Order: sequence, then C-alpha cells, then structure tokens
Amino acid sequence: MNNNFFKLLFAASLSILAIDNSNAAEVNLLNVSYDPTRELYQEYNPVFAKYWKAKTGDTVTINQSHGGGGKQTRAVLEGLEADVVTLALAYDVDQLYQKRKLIPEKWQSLLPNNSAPYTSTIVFLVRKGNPKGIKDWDDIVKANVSVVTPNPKTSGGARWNFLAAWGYALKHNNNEEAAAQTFVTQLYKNTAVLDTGARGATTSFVEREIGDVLITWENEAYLVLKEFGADKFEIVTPSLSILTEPPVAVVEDIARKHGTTEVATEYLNHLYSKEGQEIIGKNFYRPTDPEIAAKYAKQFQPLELFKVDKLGGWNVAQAKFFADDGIFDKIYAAGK
Amino acid sequence: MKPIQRTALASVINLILLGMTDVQAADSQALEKRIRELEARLEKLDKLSAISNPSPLLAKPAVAPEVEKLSKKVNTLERKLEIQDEVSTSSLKSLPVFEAGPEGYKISSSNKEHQIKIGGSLQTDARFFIDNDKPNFINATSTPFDNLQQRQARILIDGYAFKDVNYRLQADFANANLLPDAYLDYTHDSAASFLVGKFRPGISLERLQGDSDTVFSERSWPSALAPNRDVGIQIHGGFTKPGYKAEKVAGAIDTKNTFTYQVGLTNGSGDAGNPTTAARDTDNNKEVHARLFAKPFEHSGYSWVEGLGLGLAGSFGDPKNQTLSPQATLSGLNTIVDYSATRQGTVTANGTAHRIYPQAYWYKGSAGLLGEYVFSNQTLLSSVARSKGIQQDNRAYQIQASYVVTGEDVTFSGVKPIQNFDPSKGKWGALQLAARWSELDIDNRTFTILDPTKSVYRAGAWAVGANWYLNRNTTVRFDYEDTKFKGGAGTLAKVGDRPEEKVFMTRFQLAF
Repeated sequence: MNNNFFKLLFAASLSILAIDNSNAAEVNLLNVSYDPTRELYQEYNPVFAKYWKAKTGDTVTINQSHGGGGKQTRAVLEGLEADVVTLALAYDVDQLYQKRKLIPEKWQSLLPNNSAPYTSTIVFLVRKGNPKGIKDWDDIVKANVSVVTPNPKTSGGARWNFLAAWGYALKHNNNEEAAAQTFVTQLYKNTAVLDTGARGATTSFVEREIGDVLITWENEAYLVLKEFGADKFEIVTPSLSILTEPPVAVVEDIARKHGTTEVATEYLNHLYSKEGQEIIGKNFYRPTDPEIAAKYAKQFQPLELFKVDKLGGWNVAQAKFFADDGIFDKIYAAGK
Repeated sequence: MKPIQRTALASVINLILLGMTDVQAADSQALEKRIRELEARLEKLDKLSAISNPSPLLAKPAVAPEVEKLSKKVNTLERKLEIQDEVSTSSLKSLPVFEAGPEGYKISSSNKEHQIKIGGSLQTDARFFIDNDKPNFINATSTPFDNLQQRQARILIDGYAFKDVNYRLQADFANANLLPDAYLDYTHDSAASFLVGKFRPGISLERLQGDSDTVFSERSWPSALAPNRDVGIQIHGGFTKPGYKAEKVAGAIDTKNTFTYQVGLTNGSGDAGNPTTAARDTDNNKEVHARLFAKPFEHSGYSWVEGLGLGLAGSFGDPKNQTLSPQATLSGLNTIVDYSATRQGTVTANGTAHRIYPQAYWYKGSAGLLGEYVFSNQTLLSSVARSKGIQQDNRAYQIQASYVVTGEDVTFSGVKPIQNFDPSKGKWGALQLAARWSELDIDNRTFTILDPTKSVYRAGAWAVGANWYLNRNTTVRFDYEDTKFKGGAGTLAKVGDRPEEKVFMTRFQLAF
C-alpha cells in the first residue's frame, strides 16, 4: 500500500508543478533597445500591435527600455527579462549567447541582413553657421574644438564613433596604427563630456549647449534638425564614415519562459515588412528593403562607408579597443 | 559685469560644490579646484569691471566673451557631475541590500530574487524541583534534580533563491540532534507548494508553533505523541476568501491564509521522534499525514470570532521494529513512560499506527486560547512474545489560556511588545500571564509489556506561567507546573503512584 501511495503522491506533485500558466490572449513584450531608437519604436509599436491584433486577435503591449547599448546588454545579462533586444551592434547581442546562452549561437543568421533591419552611419552635428568650420574628421581634432561623444564603455553608438574616427585616421596615415592612436587621443582630449549614451550626448550638445560638434548617429542628427529646427543646427557629413548595422534578436530563453516566442519573432520580422521599413525610413534610418531605401535615399548625403570587418570584425575590435586596458582606456587616461 | 550675473554665476558654482557626493570624491577634487580657479578669475573680472565702469549698466564689451567662456565651462562641469551622479546611482541600484534588525540579518539581491537571512536562538533554563529531597522520591523511577541547562543554541539560515525556491537550515549545538531542520520549499503557487527535507510534519498544532513563540517554555503531551521532526515530502498550500489574495508561505506552518492544508509522506519517526542526520529508516513502510486548518470567520467583521481557528490532522503508518521514544513530564523533562523498562525483553512499534488530532485556537487582542486532543493508536510488539502484538490506544489533551496584561496582542506567532524594556525611560516591555491543563493517558494494555513500576499510566499537569517580553527578541519566562501521576512506582505486586512533581523553571531566551 505504502509504495503505491508513494508513487501516486509523487505523480500528483509533478502534475501540480507542470501547470502551465502562460496566457496568449493578452501579451506583454519587453524590447530592450539602445539609446536613440525611442522615436522609432514609439511609432512602430502601435503599428505592430494593430497588425498582430488583426492577424491573431490577441492584444500585445510592448514596453520599451532604452539606454547605452553596453549598459542595456549588461542589464539583460543581470536579469532584465527582455523578450527581444534591438541593440546598437552585433557584439553586444552576441554577449547574450556568450555569457548566458539566452539566444542561439547562430542568432545572426535567423533574420535577413545579419539580423539588421536597417543601417545607419556616423556624422557630425554642429551649430548653425558652423562657427568652427568643421568639414571632416581632421577639423575636430584641432585644439580649439570642443567635442561631444558618448562613452564607449557604456554606449554602442560611442563605439561606432570611435571606430569611424580610427578608420579615417588609418586611411589618411598609410594604415599606421600609431598615427591613428595619436589622432583618436587628440579627439578624446577635445571631448568636453562623455555621456553614458547617444541620447545623453545629444542632450548635452543641444540642450546644455556644450561643445562645438556632436559626433552621433546619422538618424539622431536628422532628428535634432526635425525637433529643434534646421535654423539652429547643421549636419556635416564627413568624407569617410563607418556603416553601422544595429541588429535585433529574440531572447529565446526568456521568450520561451514568457510564452511570447511567436509574437516576439513576428515583432522583429515585421521590421522587414514594407510597413516596418517605411517607419524606419521616416525616422531617418537607412532601410534595407531596396524599394523603400530608394524612396528615402534623397534624405541622406552620400559618403564613403567602410564596414567593421575592415578592422577585424567586432570580436577583434571589442577586445582591442574597448576591453579593460584596451586602447580606449589608454588614450582616455592619456588625454585627461 | 552686472551684480546679478555675478551672483547667478557664483550660485551655480556653489550648487555644483554642494551637489558633489562621496562617490565622486576623486574627480570632484579636481573639479573643485577648477571651479575655484574660475571663481578667482570671475572676481578679478568683477574688479576690473568696477574700476573701469562705475555704472553697473555700462559693462565693457571686452569682458563679455570671457564671461561667456566661463559660463560654458561651468555648464560643462555641471553636466559632468550629472553624468557621474547618473552612473553612481545606477551602480548603487545593482548593489545587494543588507538589513539588520529584530528579524535577524538579511542580505537581498537588488532585484529581490535572492535572499539569505541569518538568525538564531539561545535558551538557557533553570529548573528547581520542590520536595525532591523527600524520602518518597527514593523509589521513584528517576529523581529529578535541580539543574541549569542550555536548552537550545541554534543558528538558523533561511532564504530563497530565484524568488520561489525557499530553504531553511537550522543547526542546534545544544542537543544531540545537530540538525533539526533542513529543507527546500518550492512556493511558486500559494495553492500548492512542495517541501522536501527534514521538517515538522503537519500534525500537532502546538508542535507547529515556533519554539520561541509557545506560551509555556515546554510543549504539552499532545505534541509529544506526534513526531517532532521527520524526513520526507510535504505538499502544502493556502487559500483565502473571495476578494482577498492568498499569500505564498514557505515552511511547515502557514498562519497567513484563511484555509490551509498539508499532506505529506515521511519515514515515520514515531512519537516525539526526531531523527538525526545520519539516521536511516529501518523499514520500507512510510507514514502519511494530512492536516486541514481554517479560520472560518476571518474577514467576517465579527471581531469576537475572527481569531478562531479550527483544524483536524491525522497520520497513518505501519512501522516495523521502530524504537519507541520515552514520554516525559512537561516542564520537568523527567521520563515518566520508559519503553526500555519492560517486564522482559524489548518492545518496539511493529504494526499499524494512526493518530487523529482535532485542534483549535482563538485569539482576540490580548487574550488567547489553544487546545488540542489526540487519539493515538500504535501496535507494540515484545521481543519475547513476538506473535502477540498489542494495540496501544493513548490519549492526550491540553487546554491553555493566556493574557497579555500590558495590552499587546497575542497571536499564534507570539507577542510583540509595543515598548522595549528600558527602565531609565520607564518602559518595561510586555507581560503575559498563562495557565494550562494537560493530561496523558497510556493504554493499560501497554503494561503487559512495560514495567508498571517504571512508567505511569496517567499523568495530569496544571501549570501557570508568566512571560516577560523585553523586546521582540528577548524573553524571560517563569513557569510553575504541578504534575500528578497514576502508576510508575511501587512494586509489581503493588504498583504505586509516582510522587507528584512540582517544578519551578525559568528560561532566558534570545531569538532573532
């Protein structure tokens, strides 16, 4: 009697523990994103919710978290339960696999264009009339120029900024790394403040009127003109910049736990749709859909772009420039 | 420069100085130095302005760009401090939280998903037996001596991991059984939680009360006829009335929800059983127990009955060759039923055993009542007459009442004084008075095996007590108990009654 009862009690215990209490009718998603994408997702999220409702009848509410890309990655690794991440660079997303296996190893191949629904680049924003006559990277390392750029330790955009400057310096110094390091050292010596994220840097430059030039995302620069007026600021497109490819991913481990895998996947897929690409173009990102890209091409200035692959790819770049005791730590300490 | 401009600029500089925090000390020193330099330059410019232009309305144009430059520098410094502040605050948010107080010492993760709490208890007793030097004690089974005893010296580690995996580890250095409690309790749902390890099985109401929360220093006989601890699994949960939210409660007892249950399967440690860590079960048979408890008038608005709790518990097992624990007097802790003192051979529990425990309590304000009755049946087998098992029907009950004369509420979880003991401020803590009656009846058939001159067949005890709560953690208890017996002395030819035991005890207790 006792053995049978034991088995029954054990089976009952397992049944109770196996209760699945996910609820698909009303779903919440958390999108953990980098700093300047607030306006993009403010516009995209209700559009996707409407699309999802029409498709499935379910109501989806998307909550956003924004901040410096590096900081956001750390937050997810430390327990912030993101269903999706839409971050500034592939290295940050990849950390979710490397450190905690929250996403599959081949995550970048799961969506088109290496999981980047849009691209962008790095430009300069100056005050109207361009009082310091800034035309290219050489001008921002001059002694009398004050620069605003975020901290590469916390901001994904800041790392793109650094690599863009480095790439330019290499090209104009016969690929000599020492010269590039001198160049970038002077740039950070000219830096007035190092905000934690791209949006903070915009605030410092635009609202606090700090600095002569802001190095920022192309979309962020256009947004400033739109919101604060083209009579107050100008965009200066450098001769050479870096092609930024901010990727997106479903955090599968967490989405599975929340029962949101299907809606999270479709949330990112829909960024590639015509509807999603239109919103991307309207918010000054460069769409990857050729038709929509052609439609919005005129709003961007042409410039020469290089990819991060030229510097060895993100794993090499992160270790060389931005890891502890990397080149950034050395030049920032030297510039203080 | 206009005085108001100078004042505004100086105020900004001062605000920057005031806004600095300790975390920014290293950088702030550099910033402070820079600000002083700017202030000095500002003062110089001010003097230049005053000498060359007595009228404040006519500032020289040559000074303005310098002021604008300084203004920009101050802006930049301000922004740098804001960023530093943002980074510091963000770092502080991820730090664990440490708390120390009457509940013990707690460390919790910043996201509240993990916690460890360290507590403990110390109980030091003094027992003084009245008339124990009289001649009639010479023939008693045991002669109780006045004694001082370290009753408990425990360290308790409680906590949870990932919110729902609760644990308890309790070590007692004052007793032979080093590890009274060691269990995990998965409490994902208030309706059903899964506890596994060594714990108090949900049977006796008073046994489930915390050792530091009981009204008397020692529990009564119904507790002694249930296992003290056992190793096994227990499913438990709680429900509440519509309109109220049930709480997830970890551990062996749930005092928060209106309706609670426990259902468990254990090795079956026997009456007053408390297996050591190394102990193994001696047979394949297990014991099941179940308990239901309800506070049916909770949230009813009828204040006189809101604190009424009613329950029924029971257990069923079929032990084989299980050693039987002795029974003792309540406050005196002297053995009064000794299963090792037999007429011949040895005796073990061998065969079916069951217990039924109706139980109740009532609390209203400073007054409290608790009562429990047990019907206990087990099968005893003598090593000499192995074919003849005897059924032993034992009974025990208790009723206790208490009142906190200083006005604090009494609950199942004890008394929390409103004012801590501090005689210099005329504060004396809380005082609770209590009374109890308890009886133990051992089945007469037992004495076909046990020696009736060494074990009593009936004991009845009345007790009065006073508990002085100095603060939430410290209590001084005073108990007096008078126990009368039937049997347990004399000779086999003429069994007599064990002498009455009168004991006064005091306990100094710290629990946190």
